[in-house]
Amino acid sequence: MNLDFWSSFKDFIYEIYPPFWDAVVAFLGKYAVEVLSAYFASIILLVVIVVMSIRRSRRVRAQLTAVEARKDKS
Amino acid sequence: MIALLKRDLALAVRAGGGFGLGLAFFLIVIVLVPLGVGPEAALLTLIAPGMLWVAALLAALLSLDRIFALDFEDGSLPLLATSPLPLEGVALMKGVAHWATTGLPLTLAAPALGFLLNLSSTAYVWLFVSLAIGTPALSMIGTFGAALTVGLRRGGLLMSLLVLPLYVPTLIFGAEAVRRGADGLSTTTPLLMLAGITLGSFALLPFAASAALRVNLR
Amino acid sequence: MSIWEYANPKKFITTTTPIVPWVLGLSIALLVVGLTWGFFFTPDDFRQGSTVKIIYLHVPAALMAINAWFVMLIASLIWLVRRHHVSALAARAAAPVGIVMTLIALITGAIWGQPMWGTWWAWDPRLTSFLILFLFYLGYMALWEAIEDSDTAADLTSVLCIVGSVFAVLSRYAVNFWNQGLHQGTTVPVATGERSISDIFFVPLVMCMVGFGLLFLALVLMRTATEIRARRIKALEARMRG
Repeated sequence: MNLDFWSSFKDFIYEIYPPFWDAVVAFLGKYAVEVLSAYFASIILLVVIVVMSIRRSRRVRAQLTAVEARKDKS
Repeated sequence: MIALLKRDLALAVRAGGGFGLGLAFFLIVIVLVPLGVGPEAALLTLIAPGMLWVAALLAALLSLDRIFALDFEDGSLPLLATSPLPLEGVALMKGVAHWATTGLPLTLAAPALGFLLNLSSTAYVWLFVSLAIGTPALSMIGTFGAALTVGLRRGGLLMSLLVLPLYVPTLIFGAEAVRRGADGLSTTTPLLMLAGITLGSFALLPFAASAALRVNLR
Repeated sequence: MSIWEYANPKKFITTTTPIVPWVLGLSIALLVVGLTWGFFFTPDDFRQGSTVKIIYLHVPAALMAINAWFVMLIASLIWLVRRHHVSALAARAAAPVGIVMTLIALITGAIWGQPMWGTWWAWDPRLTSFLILFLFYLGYMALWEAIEDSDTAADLTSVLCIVGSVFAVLSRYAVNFWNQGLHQGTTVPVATGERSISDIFFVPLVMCMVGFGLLFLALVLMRTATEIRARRIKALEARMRG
C-alpha cells in the first residue's frame, strides 16, 4: 500500500479516466498533475473571489434600494 | 510622566499578576518543549535559542491586554488623555512599565531556563544581552497593539493576530544573535539590528499608539 | 476638475459602475488568452519540464499580492490626510482581493516547489515573506471586521496598515538575513530593464500580468462601490431609528 499522499493522489487522478489522462500526459509530460492542479486551484480561487464580489454587490444594491424606498415612504 | 510610570509599576506589583504570570508562563513553555520534542540533549541544544526567544515572546504577549484595559475600564484612560501630559508620553510610559514588569524579569530569568534546554555554554551571555536589547521592542510593539484594540470586547485574541506578525523581525534577529553566540560566531550584526528595531519602535510607535488611543477614546 | 472629485461617493459610484463590467470583461479576456497561450502554445523548459507553465499564474499573483498591499497603504494615507471615505473603503475593498492573490502565489509556489525542489515548503526568504504578508492581511481584515463604527475602523486599520508596512519591509530584510534561499531572483526586473526570460514566454506572461492587474482593479472598484452602499444603508437605518 502506498502511504505517500501525493503519489496516491496522482494514481487516483489517473484512474478516473485513463484515455484523457494519457492525452494530458502526452502533452504535459511527467508533471501533468502538478501543472493542472496549480491551474485548477488558482482558477477556482479567482472565480470564487469574483463571484463573491458580484453577489455581495448585487445583494447590497438590492438592500439599498429597499431601504431607500422605505425612507421615501415614511 | 515619571509619576505615571511609578503608579503603573506600583499597580503591577500590588496586583501581582504582571511579574508572576508572565514568568510562570515562560517556565511552563520551556518545560513543555522537551516534553514535546524529546529529551535528546543535542537536539535541545540546537533548538534552545529559538525556543527561548519564542517562549519569551509569547510570555510578553500574554500580559499585553492589561496595558490599557484596566485603565480603560475604570475610566482613568480618558483622564490621562485630557491631562496636560501628551498622550504619546503616556503610551511611551505604558510601554516602559510593561517592559519593567515582563521583559526585565524574563531577561533575568532566561539564562536560568537555558539550563533546562541544554543551551550551549557560550550562548548564555548572548541570550541575556539579546533579550535585554530586544524585549523593550516587544513591549513597545505590544503597547501599539493594545492601543489598537483597547475599545474592543474580546480584543485579546485579535490583538495576538495583529501583534505577532509585527514581532517577526525582533524574533529573527534576537534568536539569530543567540544562535551565532552558541556557534561562536560574531553577534554584532543581529544585535545592532535588534537595537535598531528597539530604538525605532520607541521613537515612532508611541505616536502610532497615541493616534490609535485618540481614535478609540473619541 | 481634479482627481479629488471622485472622492465624492456618489460621483465615484456613477463614474465607476459603467466602467467595471468593461474592465472585468477585458481582464477576463486577457487572462483567458494569456493563460491559454501560456498553457498550450509555449514550449516546456528543458530543465523544469511543463512546470514552467505555472509561471503564468505564480508571478502575476505574487506581483498583485504585493501591489494590493501597496494600494492599501496609499489609500490609508489618503484617508488619514484628506478624510475621504472612498479612500478608506477602497483600502478595505482591496484586502480580500490581496489575500486571494497571496494565497494563489503560495499555492502555485508549493505545487511548483514540490517537483523542482523536492519539497512543498521551504523556509526560503521569499516564501517566508509571503507567509508573513498573508498574516498581515489576516490581521488587517480581522481588525476591520471587529470594529462596529466605520470611521473608527478606518482610522485604526489605516494606522495598522502603515505600521504593518514598515514591519513587513523589516521582516523582508530580517528573513533575507536569516536564510539564503532556494527561490530564484526576480524574473522581470522592471528597474534594470533586463530579463532572464525569453520572448516566447514573455508575451503571454505580460498578458497575464496585465490581466491580473485589471482584474484587481475591477474587483476593487466593484467592492468599493459595495462598501459605499453598505455604509449608506447603515447611515439610513440609523437615521430612521433615531
